[in-house]
Amino acid sequence: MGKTDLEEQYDKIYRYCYFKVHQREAAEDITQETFLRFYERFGHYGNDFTLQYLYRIAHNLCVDRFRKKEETELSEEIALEGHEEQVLSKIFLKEALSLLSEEEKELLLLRYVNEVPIAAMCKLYGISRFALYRKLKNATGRLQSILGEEGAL
Amino acid sequence: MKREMKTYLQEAFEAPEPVKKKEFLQMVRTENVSTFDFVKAQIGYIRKRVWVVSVFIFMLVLASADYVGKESIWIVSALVPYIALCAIAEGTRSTAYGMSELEMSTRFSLKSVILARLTAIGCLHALLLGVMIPVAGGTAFLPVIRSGIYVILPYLLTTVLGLLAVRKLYDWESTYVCMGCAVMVSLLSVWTRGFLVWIYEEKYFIWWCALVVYLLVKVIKEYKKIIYQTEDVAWN
Repeated sequence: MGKTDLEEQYDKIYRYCYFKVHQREAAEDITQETFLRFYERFGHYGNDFTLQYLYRIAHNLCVDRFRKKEETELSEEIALEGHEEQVLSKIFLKEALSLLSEEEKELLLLRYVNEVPIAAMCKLYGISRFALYRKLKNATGRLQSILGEEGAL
Repeated sequence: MKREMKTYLQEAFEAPEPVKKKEFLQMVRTENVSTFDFVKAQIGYIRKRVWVVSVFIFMLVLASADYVGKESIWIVSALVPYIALCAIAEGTRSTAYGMSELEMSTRFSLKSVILARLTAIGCLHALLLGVMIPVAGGTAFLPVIRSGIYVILPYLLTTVLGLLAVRKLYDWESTYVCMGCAVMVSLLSVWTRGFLVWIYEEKYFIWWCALVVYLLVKVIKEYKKIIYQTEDVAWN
């Protein structure tokens, strides 16, 4: 049985929160709080039109979390036995990503991993489509040039 | 972006498996409830007195049409504020009794619930007024539209004043102020009919229509302000 729409969005918001706070438990708490606050306002999970509100709530909760916690633990959950090449590629990509700015990483996550529609992203960042495409192009360009320098992928 | 790169990115941003996901989704999973079913469900939560008062006034008007004859339209406009009072009291129940914060955390948002209940009450009132106006207006030999405006204006005026009271006072005392507003508007209807008869002449009808439109807009604005004020308190 495939994932429901709600379950899919839960995973995506959780992934976004984990990217922000780097802690599984905190990311789960924030994800659930996001959905609860979203339901308070809208009564139900809707569609692309309301998607930017979901991310905005999640973003704000993550920021609040940062203000409360002084330290954040970085957890690297990579090791896969017997898949050395894949593990190495992952490490290279993670290293390359770490050289990007937070904004660039977030753009790549939202657009290419969570597949947030361009319109929702524009509303979320409050920028035009042209500006968004330019930022995405810059981010992917930088990532590819870093990977090219490292001779990976 | 190449598909390969996307796949690698998805893996790079992978997060550890969430532990509490299933329980949470089970808790919040909402079934598709149609608007009609939702409104129907909310009817059960509306206090019985709302239906009783509305129907009682309706019966009173029908009876007066028989006994009082052509003055019954003015009786309707004097009684209509009490019907409006029922709608305001029901729509602002959460705010008046300080329950709005709790009710905002329920499965369906407070806004949806209020809207559904007001829709149900509004339909009843529209039905009752739809019968009362032509019946009472007919006895006074007034056109239906003119009768309707003379009846709807006190209804809207009571609603606006009541909502203003709820928004400013924001507690259970607002209920008494709302009652006071209903009594005041009712007496005003009687007084204008007795001492300012000239305002009911046909040449002033356009002003009545303008006032009705103005009050309708005010009602909507006041309800929106109450909802936003309630959300503001909850967020703070």
